[in-house]
Amino acid sequence: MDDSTQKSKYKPVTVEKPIPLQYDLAILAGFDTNALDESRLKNDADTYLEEYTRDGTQLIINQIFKLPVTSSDLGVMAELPDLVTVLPREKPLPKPKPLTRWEKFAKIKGVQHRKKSKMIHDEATGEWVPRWGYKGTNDDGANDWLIPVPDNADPFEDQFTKKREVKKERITKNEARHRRNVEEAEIALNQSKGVNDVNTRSLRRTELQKQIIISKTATASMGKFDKHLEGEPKLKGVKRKFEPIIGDVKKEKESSLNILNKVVGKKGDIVNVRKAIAKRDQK
Amino acid sequence: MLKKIIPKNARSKRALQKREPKIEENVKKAIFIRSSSTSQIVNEALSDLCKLKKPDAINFTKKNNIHPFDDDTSLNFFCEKNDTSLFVVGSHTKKRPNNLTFIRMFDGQILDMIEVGIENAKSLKEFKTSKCAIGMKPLFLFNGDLFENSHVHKTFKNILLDFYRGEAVKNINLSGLEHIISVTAINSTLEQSNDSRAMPGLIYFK
Repeated sequence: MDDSTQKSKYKPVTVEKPIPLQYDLAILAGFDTNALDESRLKNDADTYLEEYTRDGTQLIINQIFKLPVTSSDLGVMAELPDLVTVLPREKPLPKPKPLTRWEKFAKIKGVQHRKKSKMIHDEATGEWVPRWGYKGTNDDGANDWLIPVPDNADPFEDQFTKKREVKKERITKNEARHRRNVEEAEIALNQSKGVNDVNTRSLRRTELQKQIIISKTATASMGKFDKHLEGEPKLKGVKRKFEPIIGDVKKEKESSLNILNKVVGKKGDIVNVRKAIAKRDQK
Repeated sequence: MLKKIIPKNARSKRALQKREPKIEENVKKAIFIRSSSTSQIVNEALSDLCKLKKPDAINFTKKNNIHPFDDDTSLNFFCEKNDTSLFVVGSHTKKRPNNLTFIRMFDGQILDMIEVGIENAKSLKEFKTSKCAIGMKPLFLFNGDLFENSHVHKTFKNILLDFYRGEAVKNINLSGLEHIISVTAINSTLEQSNDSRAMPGLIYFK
């Protein structure tokens, strides 16, 4: 650190201290437990502390220079030891993510993941092309100018649209699987926390089925003539109720008056004043 | 409190992943914030401490109504919004003049706080020498046996080490050691309580 010819200019490299310092070189720290000269501290604190710090710094630097050294292109690097002082974390440790269906299966089966390189050598052109992505060879014949009709297929079928539809179906299936994985992961996380799972798959299913049944009652024929989708629950025993043609006259009068009351108003007011004020205030 | 952000492109996804809890954490960032009333000394001290902590420091120059010991909601909000876990709040009141509060967070909640009063401060501007580069790891020196014996001082030492630690590296370039932070503590016999003469920020040059 010091030039030998200028030794007199700098203070000595070795420093004597009654109690040796403790060091934590991972954070480049030195801890000095020696007693300080209180009188000097009160009288001329700045210079005393400067000298004291200089001594302490010298000791720390000496320790650092004792560390194993490797030379790299950035210069001489000293290898630091492990951390001794306990410093708290900023955030809690991350929880391991729950495995997806495929990952569970792969674990049981012992499937090894082989990393594929991005570029692949195309035999036809002799060039290196990407395996997937932009200008990749993975486009599954999307831009084929010729698709031979297979033997058992309808000769008048459009093979091009067929190919496109098949691909679209695969994509939707993949997205559905991804959504299912995300749901299952959330359930697994919630189970560990003990939270009441509100939106599990089965609950959502029953909820949706209830809503379908309610929507069926929106039509006059109670959804009897709606287009039937597969997997939809079939309504049994729900019919539209017809009043008999020759029935109770009193009942008929009552029901008609009810309708009239609802339309016109119980107290005979044509305008529902409360609603009118609310509507005006809204504007 | 903040609504959950769903990333819409790869870049925002990467930014979100940076903020997630990891096994090996990022460098802790710090916010330097001023309370409802501050003095010149406190302002200078805050900006000096901020300079030492750059580039992982955010300086809030406007005054905020923050009282760390009473209410921590605004601090929690800042922590979540800026992804910082260290705070220094500066304030100046009649009862507590030239006050600095060092605060550490864990998981969005306050972990510990230390309130110190500035008795005598010399800002970096007054030392007419060249300053060291931003982002260098400092050396630490803690003088006095109070840092081993007193619980409060141990906490303060821990907070300061955490604050100015910088990145956790395995190797260090020997020519990159430029400054040292030296903290000295003595037990004052004039007053009954422990009076720590902390002398941080003496910048020495190799």
